[in-house]
Amino acid sequence: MEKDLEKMSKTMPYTVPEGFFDEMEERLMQEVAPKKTKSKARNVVLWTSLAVAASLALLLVLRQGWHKTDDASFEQVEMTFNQLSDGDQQLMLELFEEMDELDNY
Amino acid sequence: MHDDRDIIKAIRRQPEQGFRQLLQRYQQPVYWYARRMVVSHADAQDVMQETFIRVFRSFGQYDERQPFNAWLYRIATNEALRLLGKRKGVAELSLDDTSDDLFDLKADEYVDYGNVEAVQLQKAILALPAKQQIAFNLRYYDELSYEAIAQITDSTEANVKANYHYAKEKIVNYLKTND
Repeated sequence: MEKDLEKMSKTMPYTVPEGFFDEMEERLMQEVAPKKTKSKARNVVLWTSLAVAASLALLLVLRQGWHKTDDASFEQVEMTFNQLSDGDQQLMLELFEEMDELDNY
Repeated sequence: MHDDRDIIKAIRRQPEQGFRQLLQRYQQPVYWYARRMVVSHADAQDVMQETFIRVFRSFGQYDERQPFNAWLYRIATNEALRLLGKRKGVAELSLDDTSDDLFDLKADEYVDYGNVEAVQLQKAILALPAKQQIAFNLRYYDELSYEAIAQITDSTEANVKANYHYAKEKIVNYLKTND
């Protein structure tokens, strides 16, 4: 009985598309590798959001006592503002203008 | 070709590099093991993909006291049974299952029906209950020890030997009657 099976070829009738295993290896590597990239990207977004939030908070606090603000604190605001991206700077300016308009009512 | 210890070390040191070594060593054996169970190329691809992703994500749970290949094949077996179970509408297929419609050499683009002897052998294997199929495939094709197969199937060596013996007997009878 054993002999009968041993005589038979272990070749299977199954085939795979050409280049399948190479392609799968790369696909699986991508499947496990992008996690890092994604989390890095998420971290950048998180830190940007935090920077914007912190800057906003700082501006709001300073704005309350705008007229009392001395040159040193204004410089700090300016430095923080300069570190923001163009888009965030634009957003800050728009918010600031809106708040000013509200104050004038 | 990397051996299991090197692969384990590499995964612990540099997971991505180690994972590539793992794929180079086991991608094809796992695919062919799955293919013999689920038959269609697309399903075997799914089982292989899920197996390796699961291995990568749960590598921290691997207990080095047990052979790595037994752990890997156990995951592959569970994934294949899960896929076959889905077809049947259950969470996971039982090892005792013998549903004819599940284990069948269906029409598939990637089957060489011209290889009559090989087709007959696969049909004979697919006619076996799941636990006998698994014992037979792991011993006959993957040449694993009875001990490793017992770990994969959560069974005993004696049980695996018995299943392998019954499987061979049934396969030979099938081939004789379908000659």
